[in-house]
Amino acid sequence: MNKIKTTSKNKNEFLNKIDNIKSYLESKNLDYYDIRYEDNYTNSISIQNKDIKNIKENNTSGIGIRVYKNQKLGFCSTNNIDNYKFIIDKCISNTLKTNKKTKLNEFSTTKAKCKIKYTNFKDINISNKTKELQKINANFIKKQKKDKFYEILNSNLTYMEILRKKYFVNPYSYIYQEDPHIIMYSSLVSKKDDIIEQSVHRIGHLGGLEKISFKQKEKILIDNNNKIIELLNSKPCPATKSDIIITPELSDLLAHEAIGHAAEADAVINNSSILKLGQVICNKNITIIDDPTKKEFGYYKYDDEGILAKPRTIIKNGIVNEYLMDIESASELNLKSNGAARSESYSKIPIVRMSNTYFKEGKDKYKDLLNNFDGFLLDGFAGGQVDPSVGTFMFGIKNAYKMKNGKIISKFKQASISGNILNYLKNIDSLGNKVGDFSFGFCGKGGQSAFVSGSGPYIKIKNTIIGGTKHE
Amino acid sequence: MNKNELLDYCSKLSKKENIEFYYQENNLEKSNIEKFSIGKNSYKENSALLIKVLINGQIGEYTLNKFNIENILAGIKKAKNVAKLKNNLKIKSFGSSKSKTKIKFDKNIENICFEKLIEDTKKELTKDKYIKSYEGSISKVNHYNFYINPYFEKENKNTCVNIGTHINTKFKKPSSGGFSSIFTKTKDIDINNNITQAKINANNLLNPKQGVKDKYTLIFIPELIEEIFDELIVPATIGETIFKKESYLYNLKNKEVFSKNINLVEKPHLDYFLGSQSVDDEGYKTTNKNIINKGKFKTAIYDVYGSTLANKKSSGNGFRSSAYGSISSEHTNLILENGKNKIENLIAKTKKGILVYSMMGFHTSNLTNGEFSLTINQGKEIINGKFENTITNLNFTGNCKDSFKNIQFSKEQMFFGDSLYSFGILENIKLI
Repeated sequence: MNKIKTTSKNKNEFLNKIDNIKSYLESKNLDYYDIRYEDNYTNSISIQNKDIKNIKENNTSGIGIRVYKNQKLGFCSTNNIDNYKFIIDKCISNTLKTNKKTKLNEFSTTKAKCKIKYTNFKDINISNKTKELQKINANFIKKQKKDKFYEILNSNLTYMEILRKKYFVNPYSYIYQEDPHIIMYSSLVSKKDDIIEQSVHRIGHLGGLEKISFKQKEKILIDNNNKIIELLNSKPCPATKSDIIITPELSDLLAHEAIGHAAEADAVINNSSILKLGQVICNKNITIIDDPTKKEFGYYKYDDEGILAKPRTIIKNGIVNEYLMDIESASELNLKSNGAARSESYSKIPIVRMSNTYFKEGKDKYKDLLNNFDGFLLDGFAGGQVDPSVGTFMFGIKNAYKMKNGKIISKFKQASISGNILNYLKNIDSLGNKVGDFSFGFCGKGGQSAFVSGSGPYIKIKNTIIGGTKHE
Repeated sequence: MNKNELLDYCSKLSKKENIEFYYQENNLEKSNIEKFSIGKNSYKENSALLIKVLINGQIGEYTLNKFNIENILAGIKKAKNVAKLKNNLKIKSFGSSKSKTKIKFDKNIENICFEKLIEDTKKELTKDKYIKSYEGSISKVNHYNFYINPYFEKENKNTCVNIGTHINTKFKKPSSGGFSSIFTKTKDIDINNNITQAKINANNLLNPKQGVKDKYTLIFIPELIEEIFDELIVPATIGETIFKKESYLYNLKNKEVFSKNINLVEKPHLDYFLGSQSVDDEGYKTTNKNIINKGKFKTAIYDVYGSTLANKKSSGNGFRSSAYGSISSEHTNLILENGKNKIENLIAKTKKGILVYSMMGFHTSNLTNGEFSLTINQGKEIINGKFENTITNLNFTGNCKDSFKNIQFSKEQMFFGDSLYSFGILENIKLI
């Protein structure tokens, strides 16, 4: 490993520790190892009406180590770096008892330092940030009190800053990456007559303080207020079958849940995906891409195995074109990793994950999609779930607008759509000619959470099961 | 600074400066079940220290995981700065409820040899004719936490072994099935039974067909009853949520919202249960509570913040999931009273029903108004008491306030580490 030039004493101490861990691992006659060290900072501020409910600042650090010997792969982690010998020994001993043969055909040989430009979270102190959020929430509540049409029962704001400083070291490689993310949520509970509704609206970005201005913070509340008014004025959605048009926010969900998870190579290898390379699964107008190089919420330059991230075209013109792969799954398939190994933190082993997943645009203008459309226009994401082994999925939908001849005739709330992935994709009729803004989220898999985002155009789908809360 | 030095230091500082500390240490050993092998072994250890100060009735917190005096003192300073910023409801003091209640846990399970568990699991992964591959994991987790406040200290530890097996089957139409178990006593660990159950479930669910919309009797497996309670019913009983009118149980205390067959109690002092605690993480005694009695919602639970907000007393339910998390109102152990009939008799009596194995969409439910929409992902059709087709993709929608008026439960109960639940039966449910 090349020594990195450092000036501070702490950095030298840190690099000495890494060198000590490397030396110890090298003394174990392993076929391969890698070390991930992370230094993470999180800060969250929660405002509940006029009060500061919580301010929580955490600083955490630790190491995660993978060991590979006789085609057996193991992992260990600790926040107590000085305890590295114990965890490495324990890990090697247990790993040698396992019987799964794992191929690792390639390793990172990169030396790189990657940092996106962002405004440091510490440029504004917590006190000022808290006062600003309090002021925004108090002003909002005061303004809305004048409205007699409905009553705001609770207005909560949550603001979060997350900074991960990550080091990846193996016998040939040294990579440093810095990933800042900023998130804000508004949660409102409002009442109209005897109807009480709750609405959560959130924004999240890759970047620092520059990404959410004072005005944008105010706007989150205004946007959420509009959403809750919409809910208060809507009826419970009937459960029915109908043609639908989904908004870009829901195209994101469809790309991610229905296709993305099934395209993860670990699921494919373990026979728990219904997708196969070369399989024609939908009409040729459909292309779905997962692209970690897009500077969206799911961005990263190198994955957590030190492999350069690249865009992956999962579905190309209706055909399954590419899986998302880490080194292990790529080796099993005799392919090269496309940089999809991600871990939630130093304490978790990297697994195959998505990043920024989206439907490529189609040809139809929005007004053409609506032309003579009878069915439901669905908007607003309320969570999603998929079982890639059998291909069923279920998405929660906030708003459903019943349309006749392309015009809204009634408004409903709290719907869901569900079905089989393959049948669903076959029912896609047409796609809008513009990809919408990317929305952000956290994707859960194997007990780990990953920062992801996604989008797509408006999409028209035929003959869909809508699960409402009322029977039609 | 080792653990003992750290806890000694915190203990002295707590009395001197009126500070609360919460130290947490977890060790996890885990191996994945992949295809027909055991692989990717993990050993993880994780510790953290939460510092909590109380200044003029305001709480400030800070968490760190590098333990030395310099970091602890810096952390206290940061926690104090946070407390000074706040202007919330005033918290009077840290809890001071010492408790003599002793809760038993199995000390042998703490030292069980993980390598032996790997060996035992390997033997069970047989290549039966319908099995395409296995997925899952076997793990052993040691939890330890030490709570210190100026009035008393408490230590809490437990260990559990988990095994979850999922089987993908070989038939043309993709299908899968599985089984998960959690063990808190060495003598109960039965890997063979877990994998046998997973094989039975996978075999039961071969070749799924699109379900037909109709009225059915739904029989939910205990795992789904646990999920229904965990996602749709128990969160609605949190006092702060009710006070804020964010729960459909607002104004429904002592009203018969659910079936008379629902008797749900919280029992915090059960031996070998993972939720057992004599004192909560804010220093208040835990107590037995009737949460739902004969279908009537009886008791809302509170942590210190929620109780102060609602002008009530803490019910000893302030817990944090980790040293990084905030306090929230949580139950300890929940026990759902079982029914009188055996599941085989309930199935035999069913004319047209579905034994439901898996449902999706719990996260889309709305606890403010109680509405939910769930998709039955996997179920076995029952016609005149006999199993017929495996079915998928039917929708079950409703409102928590009226959908569970007629639910009944089986005699059999399943252990989930901190709860006991039975099979649940709902008659005459319209599915689309």
